[in-house]
Amino acid sequence: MNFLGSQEILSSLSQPASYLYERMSEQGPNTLYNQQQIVSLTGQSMENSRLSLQELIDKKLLQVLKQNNEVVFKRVDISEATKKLSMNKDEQLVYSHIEQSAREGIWVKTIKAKTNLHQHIVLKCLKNLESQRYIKCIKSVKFPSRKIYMLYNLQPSIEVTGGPWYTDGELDDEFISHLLTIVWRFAAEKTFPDGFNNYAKVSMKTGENEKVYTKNVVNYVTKQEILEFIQKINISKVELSIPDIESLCEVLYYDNRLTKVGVNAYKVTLQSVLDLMRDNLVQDKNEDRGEELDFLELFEDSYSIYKSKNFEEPTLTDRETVYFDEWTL
Amino acid sequence: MGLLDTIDKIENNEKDQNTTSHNPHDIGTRNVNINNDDFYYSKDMENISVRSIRPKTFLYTTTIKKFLGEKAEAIAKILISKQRITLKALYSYLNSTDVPMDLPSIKKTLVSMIQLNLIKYYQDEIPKNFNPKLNNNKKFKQKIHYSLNDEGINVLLYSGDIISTCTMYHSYMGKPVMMLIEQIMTNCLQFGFLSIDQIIMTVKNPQHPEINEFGDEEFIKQCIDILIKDGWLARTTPLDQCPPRDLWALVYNREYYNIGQVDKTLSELKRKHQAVLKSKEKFNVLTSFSQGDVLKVSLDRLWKYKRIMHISKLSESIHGIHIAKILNFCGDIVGNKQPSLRDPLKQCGLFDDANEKTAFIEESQYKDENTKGCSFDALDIQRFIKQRKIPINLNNVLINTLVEKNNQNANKRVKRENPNLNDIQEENEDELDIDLDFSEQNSNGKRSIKDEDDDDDINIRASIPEINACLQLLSDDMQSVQFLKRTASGRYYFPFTELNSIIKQNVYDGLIESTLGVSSLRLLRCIRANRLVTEKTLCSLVLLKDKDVRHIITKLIKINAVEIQELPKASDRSAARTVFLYRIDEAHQYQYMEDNLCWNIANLINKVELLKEKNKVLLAKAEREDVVGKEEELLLTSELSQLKMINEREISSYVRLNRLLCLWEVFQF
Repeated sequence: MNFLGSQEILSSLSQPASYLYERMSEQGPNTLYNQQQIVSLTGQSMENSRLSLQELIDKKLLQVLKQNNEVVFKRVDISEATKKLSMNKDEQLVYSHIEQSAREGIWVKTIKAKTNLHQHIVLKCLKNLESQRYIKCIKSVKFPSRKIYMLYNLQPSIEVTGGPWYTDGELDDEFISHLLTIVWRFAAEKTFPDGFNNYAKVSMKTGENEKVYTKNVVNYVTKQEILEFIQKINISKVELSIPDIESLCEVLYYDNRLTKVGVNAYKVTLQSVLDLMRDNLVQDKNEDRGEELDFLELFEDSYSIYKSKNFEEPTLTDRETVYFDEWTL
Repeated sequence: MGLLDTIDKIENNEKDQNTTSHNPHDIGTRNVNINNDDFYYSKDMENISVRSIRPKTFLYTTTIKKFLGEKAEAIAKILISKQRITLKALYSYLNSTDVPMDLPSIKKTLVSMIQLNLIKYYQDEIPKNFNPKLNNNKKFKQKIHYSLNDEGINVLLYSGDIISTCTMYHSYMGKPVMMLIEQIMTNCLQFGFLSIDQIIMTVKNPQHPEINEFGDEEFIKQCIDILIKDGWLARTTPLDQCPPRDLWALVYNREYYNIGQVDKTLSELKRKHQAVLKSKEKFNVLTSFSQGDVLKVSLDRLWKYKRIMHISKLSESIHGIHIAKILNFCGDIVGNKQPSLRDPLKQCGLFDDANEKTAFIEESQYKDENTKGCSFDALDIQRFIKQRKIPINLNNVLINTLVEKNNQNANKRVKRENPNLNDIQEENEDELDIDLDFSEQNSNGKRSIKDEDDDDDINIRASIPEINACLQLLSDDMQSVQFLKRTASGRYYFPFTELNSIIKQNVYDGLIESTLGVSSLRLLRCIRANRLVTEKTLCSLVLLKDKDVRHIITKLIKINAVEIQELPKASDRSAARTVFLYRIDEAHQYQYMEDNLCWNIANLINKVELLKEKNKVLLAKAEREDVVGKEEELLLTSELSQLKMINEREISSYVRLNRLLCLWEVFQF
């Protein structure tokens, strides 16, 4: 087998073929040409043009495609052609299928079915191509057990990688949790006058020192603002988009840590602020406020499930503990 | 006088004073068909597995046993299982139980239970076409059917709550009124139906060591009037003794018969439809009729109070303490005037028809807005705060400008430059007639709010603009919950019908979060928001691993929080090709939670009773006259520590019981 360098390939071309390739290079890399255009480029007859075309196709410098039931040609970069020429026929076949699969990648079994080659040969080809760094094996989130191949220089699509939330095909819990905290904190800074420290000095019984915004204040954040903030602090190596921020905000909404304001904006819930501050909340002062305040105490002292995070856990020896699932046991 | 005559009288003259003086036993004619569902009845009711089948049975029997003893419990068990029973049948069933009773003691127990409003009864009416001559001159046997009354049992369960709430609710009236109200409510709960004179008789005590007013008959009467006016005590009619289903059937049958007499060509469908329409109208009049001298404790008033409390607590978790307090005051202003929570129509089986249910909801929404006395504005709230001398300070609570950290001048996002809240403009200032300029009198010569404030208590700092700002926040439709709505005239009202379901949902979510964790809440809310989702979609939406999602979903399915919907893709419905989706059925969710809480309440009461039963010798010893006050001398150290342990466990049980009741009631709204 001959391994030709790029210069050697170009120099081995005939004059008309070389001329045609140069003219095609001038037009740009992704231009498609039909037969008429090729004839006009070469300025020769159809017969001669065909000869040049065949020569370029043989040297892998031209790719034959079909568009609207018409045969069209696409110029192939010289380095790509060199790469293909360095492969044997089986490898070329396997490579062409992998190339076609683009960013989606292709499963080994599919390659085998499409090429109609024996499994050993396919595996051998893949091994060779992989060692030469022409292709790479990737993990798919949808099918974690499948061996999927794609061209070495391509980035897998979101469907394959699972988006920014997946690292090496696994859901990155830690990354998501960090981002959730950052988004929540950013929103909390806007929602309350003192951010998430708003309730640090507030008496949880009487509401002393409490501060809240009125309806007029725009104390919410939009998805765009969150995205800009995340990009600004440069926390994520992965490029995030508005839908990614939306899915983070939705998760926080499901956790009851964010609340929706209209369609596009979010505020943090007071509940989530209190849950975060639960160890530092101001304890109730046991002041004797006189009998006339009994009326107010009715409200202040009544039980609220929303403060459940502040309740003490029952001890193991507590025989009166109410168990949620005792009834069905 | 029969029940029908009573109905006629109410219809003809609602102000008829004689209505209550009639004996409800003198009941007239007509037969009623009630679908008597046969519930199970078993001698193994004590068995824990049987108790678990129907938690309400467990709760009701345990409560009745705690307050009235074993005989009443045995009767209650049969009434729960049979729903509606005559004395003769009750006697025969009781003799096959562990607590056989003779007829006189059954009658005595029944009377006690009726007096405490635990049992309602219905006496058969004589059919109009009954002719004694055709029936060998025999009299028509008017059977009395007894059935258990949920309301009475709930009153027993909430008795402590009713006394303390009602007393503290009137704390602004001073200590004598509070003490008297406490005594009146306690006596009414203890003795059941009492006339005003009887209440005065039981409360009057000229030798009271602290409060002289206990000897003042007129003062006691005034207190009773306050309680009646505020709805804590309700006047009763003979109709109150009739179960709603029986009353509905009675009214419906009569209307159905009358329509048939007037228009004989009317089709059956139209006749039924018209009968339902007319019956509903009359039934509502009859059930809301309240007149007479005999009083009972109104559970409905407690529910109304509780509903406001739950709404306020929810707003506290969303808007903070001060705004929640303002909302609570709004609820107190509305007070007893708000629409009733438990419409008797609900118990008549009418809502099996979806159209009837929709119509009922629409009517409730209309009532929320248009019931007299249910709307209020900032002035009403301020008046309420001043009247009750409630120390609330809204100064510096509400902030009108966005506070930018590390940049005091950054007011880019601020709508108004002046941070003074008093500059908030009313949407319709003319309507509210408020002068927002504090410095001087306005052109119309009206006094500014500030001037009024100056005269008041230094602790009360709630100006109209501040209260209005709170109301605006509460009625903001951009918020997650809209606690208040505005009427066309610019006043505010509670949309109770919508708030009821919101409270249920939030309490349910709170329970799930506190027991099963935040991840469960995340999944639950995600499914609720997306209605119908596959496992894969769910995983991508909640950003959790497949394994975790599956694990949590199993737990949620177990408690009926989530249901599986099968979507077959092949004609043979093969499982391999079927897609399984998750969805939520709120009715099932809440029913399960209600039953679960109900069982736990009953279990707690049962535990306390068992504890007392185990230590009854020691408890009897400690309560002996010669021991009381000298426990440390006469009891052993081990006995004292045992007594302390019993006391602590009892207190902790009651605290938990009250909390559970507080959660359970939400699912009954």
